[in-house]
Amino acid sequence: MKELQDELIDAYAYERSIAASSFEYMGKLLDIEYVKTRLKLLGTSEIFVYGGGYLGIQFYNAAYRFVDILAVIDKKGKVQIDTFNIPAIDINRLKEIYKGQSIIVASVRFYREIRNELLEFVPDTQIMSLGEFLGGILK
Amino acid sequence: MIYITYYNLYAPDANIGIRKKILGQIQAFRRVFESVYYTCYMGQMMYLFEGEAQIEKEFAITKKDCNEIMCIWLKKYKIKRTYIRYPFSDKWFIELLKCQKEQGIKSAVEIPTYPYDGERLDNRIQIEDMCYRKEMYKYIKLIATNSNEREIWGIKSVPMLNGIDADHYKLYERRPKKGKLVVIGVGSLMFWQGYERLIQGLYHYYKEGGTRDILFKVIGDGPEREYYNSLVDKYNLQAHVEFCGRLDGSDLKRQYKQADIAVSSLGCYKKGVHDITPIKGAEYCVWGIPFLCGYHDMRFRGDERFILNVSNDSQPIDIEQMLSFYQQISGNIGYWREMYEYAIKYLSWDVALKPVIEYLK
Repeated sequence: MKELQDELIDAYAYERSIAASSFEYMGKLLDIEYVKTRLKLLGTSEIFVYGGGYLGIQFYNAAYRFVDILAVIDKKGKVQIDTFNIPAIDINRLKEIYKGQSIIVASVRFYREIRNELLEFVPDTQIMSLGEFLGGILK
Repeated sequence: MIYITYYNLYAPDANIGIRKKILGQIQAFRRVFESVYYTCYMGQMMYLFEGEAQIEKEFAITKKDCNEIMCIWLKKYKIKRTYIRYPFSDKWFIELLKCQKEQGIKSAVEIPTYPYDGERLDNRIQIEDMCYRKEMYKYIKLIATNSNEREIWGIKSVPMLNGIDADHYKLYERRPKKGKLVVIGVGSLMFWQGYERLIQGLYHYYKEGGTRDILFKVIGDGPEREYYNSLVDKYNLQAHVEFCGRLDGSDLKRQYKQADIAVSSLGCYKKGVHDITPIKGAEYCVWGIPFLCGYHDMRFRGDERFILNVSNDSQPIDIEQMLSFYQQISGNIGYWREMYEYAIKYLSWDVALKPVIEYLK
């Protein structure tokens, strides 16, 4: 029973953390000047965004005027709301066109899985979570 | 050793005082222990530093993730001792302590402010903390905190007074000056600063015909800013109160150099605390700025001529009293030297951390 309770607490805490982080990112992405500053710190002119969900779309809309977003990558090869003319591709297409650019992963829940998948052909140093981009240490 | 903190140390909005404190403590540990690592948590990433170099980073979305990563690093770097800045207790923090104990790691926990139940904590965090902190005694043998308590939650406690990194400060010679009297208050604008007492004091002083030109410079930012601002408007004190925002480095130094008097926390009564040792008190001292103090600062005897002790309540500050205090102290040539020497001798992190270092050795 104790183990089950522990598992339940872990599961609730996990869900809460994902919700809290996503909410925080959504808020930060509304601050266009902040996004601009962070992109400047990142110091790159071309990026890919991984994740065609709400977070990915929100990030695309906040960042596209300051950096060349080559495409939004999503398993389905399309974004969740298809009204912003966002160029979307799937991971197979990414493998064909990838040339060492930074990839920002705009998914909190699946970050680890996506990172592992990308590590097959993307250097570790070029993969970054949206949280790290927005609040972590950028050199 | 590792200095474990989950604080967002290098974030642009990080509290400058807390950052200074953590980095000052790390410097003091470095003077004693061979290799000192430290952590921080920013943007859902756990970072590990050695010296200036970031040597590890890991994605950590939950506290469970953070603690699992910590346990891996403790093993990987064969850590023998840790110093933990208390993050409040919960299930995962206790698991981290358990993991440390299993690896035979000697550990001390710092509670920056105790008691803290009067602070406006999130209700969930408070309940969680009250529930789990009772288990800490099984894994921790030393707590360092600002309070004079000998024992906290069944664990031996030593007073850990806030200090300064003595290497960073040189004697600043102050010259007596006429004209505008500059009063500074440095710190994040939280409710316990109680600066409204000084603003109200200024209002009464000018209302009753006070003529000395006083400028109160509020250095810092935070939730109380709007409240202080509204008081300044209400009392029409725009010429006497200036909000400088968050300052650090050379900008802050400039303000310290221009200041005649400083003001430390005046609202500790709101938290129900009286015995504390805020960093700013030590900084005012090392800069040779006489200061007002609305609490008992345990690093001083209490009768130092460079401190004006005021009540720990909501009464407006008596500006006439403040002016005569300044007149008296500034008439003593070299008072700034006395303050500087006191700070270097008694307020450095090496002195403040002595009981912890002795324990961890």
